[in-house]
Amino acid sequence: MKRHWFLTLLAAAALSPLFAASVPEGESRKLLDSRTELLSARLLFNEARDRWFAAPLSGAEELLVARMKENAKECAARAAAERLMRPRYLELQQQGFAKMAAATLEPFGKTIPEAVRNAISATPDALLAEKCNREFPAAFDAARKKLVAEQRAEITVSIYPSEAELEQDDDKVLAAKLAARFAERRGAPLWEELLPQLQSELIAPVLRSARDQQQRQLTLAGQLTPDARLWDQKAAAADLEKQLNAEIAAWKAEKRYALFPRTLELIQKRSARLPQERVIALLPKLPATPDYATLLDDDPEANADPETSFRHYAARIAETGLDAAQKQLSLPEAYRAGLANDAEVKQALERRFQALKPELQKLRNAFAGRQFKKRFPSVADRSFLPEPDAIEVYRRDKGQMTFPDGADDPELLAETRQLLKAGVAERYAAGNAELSDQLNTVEKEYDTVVAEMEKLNDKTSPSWPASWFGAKGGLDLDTIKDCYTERVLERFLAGVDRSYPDLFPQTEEEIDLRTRAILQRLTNPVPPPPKPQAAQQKTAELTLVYRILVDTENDQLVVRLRERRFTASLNPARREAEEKRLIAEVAKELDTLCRTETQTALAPPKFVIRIEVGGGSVYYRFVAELRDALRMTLRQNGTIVEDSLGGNTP
Amino acid sequence: MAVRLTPKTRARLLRLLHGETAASAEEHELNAIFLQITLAIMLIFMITFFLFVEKTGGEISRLDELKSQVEEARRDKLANALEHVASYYRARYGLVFFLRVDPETGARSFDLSGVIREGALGGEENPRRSFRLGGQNAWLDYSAPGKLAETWENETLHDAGLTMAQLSDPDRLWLKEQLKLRGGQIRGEVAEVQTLAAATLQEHFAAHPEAVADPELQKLLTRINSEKDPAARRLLLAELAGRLNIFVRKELHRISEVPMLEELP
Repeated sequence: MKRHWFLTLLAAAALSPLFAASVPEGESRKLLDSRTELLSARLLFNEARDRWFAAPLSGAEELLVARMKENAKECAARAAAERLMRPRYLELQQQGFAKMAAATLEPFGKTIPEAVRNAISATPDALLAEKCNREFPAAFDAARKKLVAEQRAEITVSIYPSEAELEQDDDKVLAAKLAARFAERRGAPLWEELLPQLQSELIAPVLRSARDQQQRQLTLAGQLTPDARLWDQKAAAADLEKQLNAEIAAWKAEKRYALFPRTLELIQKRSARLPQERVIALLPKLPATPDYATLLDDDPEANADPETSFRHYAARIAETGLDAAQKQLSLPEAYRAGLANDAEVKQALERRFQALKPELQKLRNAFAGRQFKKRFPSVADRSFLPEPDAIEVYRRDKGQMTFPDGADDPELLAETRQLLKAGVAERYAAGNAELSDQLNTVEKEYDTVVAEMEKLNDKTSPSWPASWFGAKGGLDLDTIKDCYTERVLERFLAGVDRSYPDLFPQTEEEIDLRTRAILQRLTNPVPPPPKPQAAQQKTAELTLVYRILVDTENDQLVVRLRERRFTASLNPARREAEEKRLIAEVAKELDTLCRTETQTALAPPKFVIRIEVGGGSVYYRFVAELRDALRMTLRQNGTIVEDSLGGNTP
Repeated sequence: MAVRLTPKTRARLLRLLHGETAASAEEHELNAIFLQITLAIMLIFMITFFLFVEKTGGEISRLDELKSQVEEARRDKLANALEHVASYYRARYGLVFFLRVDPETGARSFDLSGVIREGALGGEENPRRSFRLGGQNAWLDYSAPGKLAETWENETLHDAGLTMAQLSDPDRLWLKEQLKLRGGQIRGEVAEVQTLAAATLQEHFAAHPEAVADPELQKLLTRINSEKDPAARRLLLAELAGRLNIFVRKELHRISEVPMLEELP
């Protein structure tokens, strides 16, 4: 090969007039250019040659197929065909190489002599033979496969089931029909052993291809869209059929079926409902008018009830949506009638409204929030304070709440009313909690006073109670009441910012009652009983009240028992476990308290356990479970349990 | 401009010229007399001037002739000196070894046989040495053109036995132009030799294209062969030629260790 190129260059050098020992002055540039041109040609040709040899010969497969068809008789046997086609393939390669070389060296036609170009592009026979050996088997194999497939299709085409048969019969029936056709074609019955092979290798693929085409036709018939300018049913159907046939023409199958009756039926159906279909397709893309937020701003009274408001709005956007769709589609007048009453169009409009609904509800909520803040600022900023009397009424009946002025305004949205109700209820619950605190304080203070009185009972000076209560003269009801009230208020307000710094009427009544009891004790002191009896007397009267307040705060379930606070998460995933833990903790604490009190008391005291539920959303189930747990705990402790709800239980 | 004389003045003038007292003499008569006097004076001066010119003109032309003879002799001296200096530089750049002059026609040619062989600098000592040292000297000199021109000028004046102060303005101008011309001519000869060497090397690459292993060039070749548009293909072929010329000069530089004069600005 190298020698060959060397000879080529010698030829090139001999042909060049500039190639001489001595070069005239001024000619060196030309000489360099000519040598550069020769090098360019060689480099380009080498690159093209290498690529040509690396790539398979294009179109070889088709040419081999054509040649074998032309010489079908001689090429029937594979080995004979291979022997015949190999030289032909080599010939094709030589032609291809020459074509490539001519195209590559064409730009050098005027600058490099023909002899040199010919020498450069001389056919490398050895390389071509090597390429032929490398590529021919694959090309020949592909060509043979193509020929066999064509012949197979020719043979089997007459047994294919028709479009009508495919729609009419199932695969089992069709398989039997095809087997019968094979036998008929052969003119003799088929051997039984052959039938499974026939079924799996010929009939099954034929049926699979047919069913696949059937399904693809239906899918395409449902997906293709006719020309947007067409509205007439016949024209639209024709357009769809044309499109579908064009698609089918590109399918690679031994037999391409014409349109199936069901496909045609679907095309007709779609064409008949073209206006509805186009309107339905367009509706989700159209913006909803009028703007719901504007409607709320303009007429909140008419939109106060969400159900009514949504119903009216759905009707309005259905109307405007249909109008807009008709305009945008330039729907001819003849197709507009009955569009609004079409069931599918109605469903599409309803789907469109339902898709919008969450956004509409957000708009309503936002509007309600603004309305609530504007109309009821004190409730919104939690500065609203119900009257103490009203709080007491609420304490007795949680449904009794007095709402601020304007709560019945028809312009208030239902959502605003809910916000108002929740806000007011929260304020009432807060007031009720403060009332509870006051009553607890009264009770605790009473216990303190009684305990002090018992301690000082032995003192001989008759003036100690007066001095204890801070009375200057004699001890009277007002002095005790004032002192008691002062101590209660002091304890109630200690370290806490109260919304109700004054006493509720109910608290005052309680103080009054307890004051009288204290005064009665002071004025009619019980003679000190014998020691053991005194202890019995004291313990018989010792009643300990434990209030268990159940409420929710910041997504937490909170239980308060005296100064202890127990919490549990309201997270649905953990709620059950958290509640169980909480109940166990409260029960344990109560048990400890009861045991401590029992051990320190001379006789078993009476415990009053009151479970109070706050304004938060607390499940009754939880309260019931808590009550059962406490009852069980106290019973295990040996306490006699009296349940005001569940009846007496020993 | 007519000047009207007072009667008294006119009378005085007439008396002076004619001795007459005729008070009736006209004004234009006086003007005519003044004109005659002026012409007489001019005639006297002209005669004197022509006589002077005739006497001195010959001497001036003789002086000019002498001066031009001196200048011519000086130019000849300078030209000879220039030729000597140019010969020196031709030898310095190794051109003498490659330059051939036809004795009959005077046509000049270059013979680089033996300089490049098989893609490398040839084995013969003389051509190789001339090409390498000459090229290196040329690169060295032409890298500093201002200094080279000054050296040429000094050497020429030295060879001519003259100083710049002795030269007239036209001679100085002439000398500057000649120096520029000769310097450029010799540079062209060096470039010619180097281009010839590059052509010889390119010939080697044409015989051994596998030696051109440049990835960028390979990409360009692929691009050209993939290009279907003939006009675009022609442009790419021109680009290929340009790149191959640069490539061969670089290779020549590499194998001979001689920087190419074409690389200089």
